[in-house]
Amino acid sequence: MNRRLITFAARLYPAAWRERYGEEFAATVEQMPAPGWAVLWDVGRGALKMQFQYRSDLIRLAAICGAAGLAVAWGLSLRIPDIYVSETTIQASTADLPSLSPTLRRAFARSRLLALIERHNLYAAERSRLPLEQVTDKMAKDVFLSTSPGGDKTRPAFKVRFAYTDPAVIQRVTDELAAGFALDTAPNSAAQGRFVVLDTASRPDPIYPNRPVAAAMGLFGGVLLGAVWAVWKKRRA
Amino acid sequence: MTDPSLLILASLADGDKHGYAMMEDIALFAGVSLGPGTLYGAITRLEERGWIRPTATKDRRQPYTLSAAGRRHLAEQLDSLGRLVSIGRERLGQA
Repeated sequence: MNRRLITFAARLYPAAWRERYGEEFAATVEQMPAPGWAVLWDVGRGALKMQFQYRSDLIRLAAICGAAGLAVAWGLSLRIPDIYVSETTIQASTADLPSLSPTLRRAFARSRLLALIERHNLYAAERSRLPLEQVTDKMAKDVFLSTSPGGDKTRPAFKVRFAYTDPAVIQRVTDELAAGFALDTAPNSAAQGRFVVLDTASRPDPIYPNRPVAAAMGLFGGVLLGAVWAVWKKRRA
Repeated sequence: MTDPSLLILASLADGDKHGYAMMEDIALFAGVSLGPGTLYGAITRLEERGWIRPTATKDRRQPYTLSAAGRRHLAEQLDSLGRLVSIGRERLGQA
């Protein structure tokens, strides 16, 4: 029984090792009069050690590169400023909803965004190096409008979201964006007063960068690189 | 002294032996029972370092011989152990 188990355990040695020592190792075990459990343990442990010894280059390089990848990815993610998002919901107050386009144009008009930028001192770094037009374009890209499941066919609801780096002002800006949309003050607006804000802007939620994911990707990339490097080294040798 | 590498070198110092013969010899002179896993782990390391080498045989049982470098290494290790034994005995007041 033990001999069969020992023969099985001996197969756990690396193939390259078995190629070189397998036959004489088997002959040695065959000569032992009654190998017990201690011998089985010794062979299993020896196989495990040999696996590490034969693959040490691969394991070492993969571990080093993995740790380096993790550290680099984490470090780079720390250099990226956090981006938060706040959102609120607006809903049509009547089924008699005209085309949204004019209201949207007014709600996100350059002049309205510029007023928000100046009132809350948004995009200070960008304003120091870019013309105001480009800064307002950037803000327009950071404002998102999407349909919300809270509405229905006759009275659709929309989520107004704003993504920004400063959690201190993001809620107020989101509230004002939604208010600007719902309480469109443009004279003769077809949509005037036909949207209501359903809730106040949500608390700032960090959405980017996702540091644990970045670190995991760095670790994975590093391990992969290390493994490829080890295989390349071995083939070259 | 239970270092398998040193035990194998000491075993091969008085002649070539295959794996099982080494195990028996070591059990006899050192009272240490080496398992085949431990024995071949040490044989692999010793051969990689060039301290032992296989001799030509048609038998499945592969004999090994001590190389000149292995003999030198064994001598150095035994000298070192000798000094340790001597100091230990002296400190115990058994010199």
